[in-house]
Amino acid sequence: MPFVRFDNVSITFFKQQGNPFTAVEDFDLSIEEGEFFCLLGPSGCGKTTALNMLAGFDRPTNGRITIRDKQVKAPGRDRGVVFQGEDSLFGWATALENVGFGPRLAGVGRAERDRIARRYLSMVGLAEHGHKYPHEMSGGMKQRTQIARVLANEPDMLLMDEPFAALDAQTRRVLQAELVRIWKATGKTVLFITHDIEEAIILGTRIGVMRAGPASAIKQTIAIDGIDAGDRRSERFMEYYRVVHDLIEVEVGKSLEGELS
Amino acid sequence: MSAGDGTGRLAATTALQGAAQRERSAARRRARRKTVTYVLSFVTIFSLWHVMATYVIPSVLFPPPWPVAERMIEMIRTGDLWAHVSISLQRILIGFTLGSIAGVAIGLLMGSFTDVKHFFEPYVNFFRFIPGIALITVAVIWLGIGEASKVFLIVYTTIFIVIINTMAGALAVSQNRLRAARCLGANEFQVFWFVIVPSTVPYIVTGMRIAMANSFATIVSAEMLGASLGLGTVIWTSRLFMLVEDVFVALVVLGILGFLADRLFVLVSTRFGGRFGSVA
Repeated sequence: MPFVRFDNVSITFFKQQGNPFTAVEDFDLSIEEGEFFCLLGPSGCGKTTALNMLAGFDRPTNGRITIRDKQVKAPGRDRGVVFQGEDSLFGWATALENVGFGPRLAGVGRAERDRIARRYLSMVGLAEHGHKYPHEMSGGMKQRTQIARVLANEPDMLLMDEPFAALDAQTRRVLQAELVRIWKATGKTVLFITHDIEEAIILGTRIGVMRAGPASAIKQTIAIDGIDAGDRRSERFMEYYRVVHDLIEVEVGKSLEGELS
Repeated sequence: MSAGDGTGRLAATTALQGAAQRERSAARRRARRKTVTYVLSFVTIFSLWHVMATYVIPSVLFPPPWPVAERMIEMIRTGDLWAHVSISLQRILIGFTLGSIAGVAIGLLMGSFTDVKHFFEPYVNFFRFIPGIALITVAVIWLGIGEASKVFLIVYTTIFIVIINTMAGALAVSQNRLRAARCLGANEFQVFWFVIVPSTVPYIVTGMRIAMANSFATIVSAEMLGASLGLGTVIWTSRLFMLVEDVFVALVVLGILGFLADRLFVLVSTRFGGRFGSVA
């Protein structure tokens, strides 16, 4: 029994104006516990929609999504979501208070949740920055805070929606390496959305390449083995890169055509 | 080598201290310049007033600043001015507070729950176009010429602006923020209390600030019709007796009070609400 299972999932959005839009159709995916699964695809292909359904933000029109055989119906603390935008942080709260938010909701007392928050802030390298408000932090620090906030809630699973897409290249590399380290240390299952091939290969244990939307699904799944964050120019990395690149290039082309027509 | 290092560090520290000192004295200069400009601004307006009233339009209907100032001092000495000011401020304070509390509550609920929004929307969009001044007659007929009618008018003039701003704030909370709270385990009440309410604070403060200015406008009109004390009464009754200086005293005092109230409001809200964003 897989940990996460998308079983023939479709979702159609009915807008007030215009035609109904089927973002994802007949989407199948199984993720095992402890896996780092990267969902890769051109923009507008429905990657985020798939994540939103697993998070419980959107309900599938057809099909079933299950976690440990239990159907997903609503957002829950077992699935922590890290968003691309930093606007999900609470601007009036310090990093410490942001990270302690989940424990606070769970009724954990002040001293204990500060202790928890400090532990996870130091896990993401922000031990000295707990007193800062989001507007005092750089983009990278904000994403670290988001990750710490999700981890402090001790979810079974991390859902990450292009969390590093808005960061500069150097910061992104640093955070990618950190994320791999954290993943190895905690053993959480991760679903990671990205449009960056390099990122997917560096991070993932498996990559699901999506077709161009609409009515998208996974085109092919590729297992990645023996790639570390330092392997960006190794022969092995380049091989994976070529394979994934060839798969995705056709889809990017289709997606652009779709936009222009 | 270590001695050389020490000297280097010392030089660097001294340079840093020098820079800090220069920055401090520059800040002092800027502050002094600001004060001077403010004083210049006041001097200009009073000089202009004096020149206009004495030479350009000499008329009993337009008293120069000095007689007005004399009259003000006299009114302060007799205690009349304080009697008028205190009752006007009391009315504003009570009405503004009640209106703000109700407005924030209704606005938050409207912004958070679609059904509540649809329920209250017609009222809000109907009444906000009827100015408080238009309701003075009704207020006096229903509530008498006592305090109740004045307080009612201030509440009325405050509540809709606060509602609309608060609602806009609650509606503007980013979807990601709401979703983040939900997947951290927040139930609907917790989303409302821990996310929507604090996110809305800057909007509430803005609404209240505008409402405060409106309260000053409304209290004057309310006191013109049926009140024995208050700044509005001063303006109205002085007109009947051609006491133009008194009218000007009331106008100047109104301006000063409004300015001070706004400053105080900004001060308090940045002191206690600063963490919620740029509130004022």
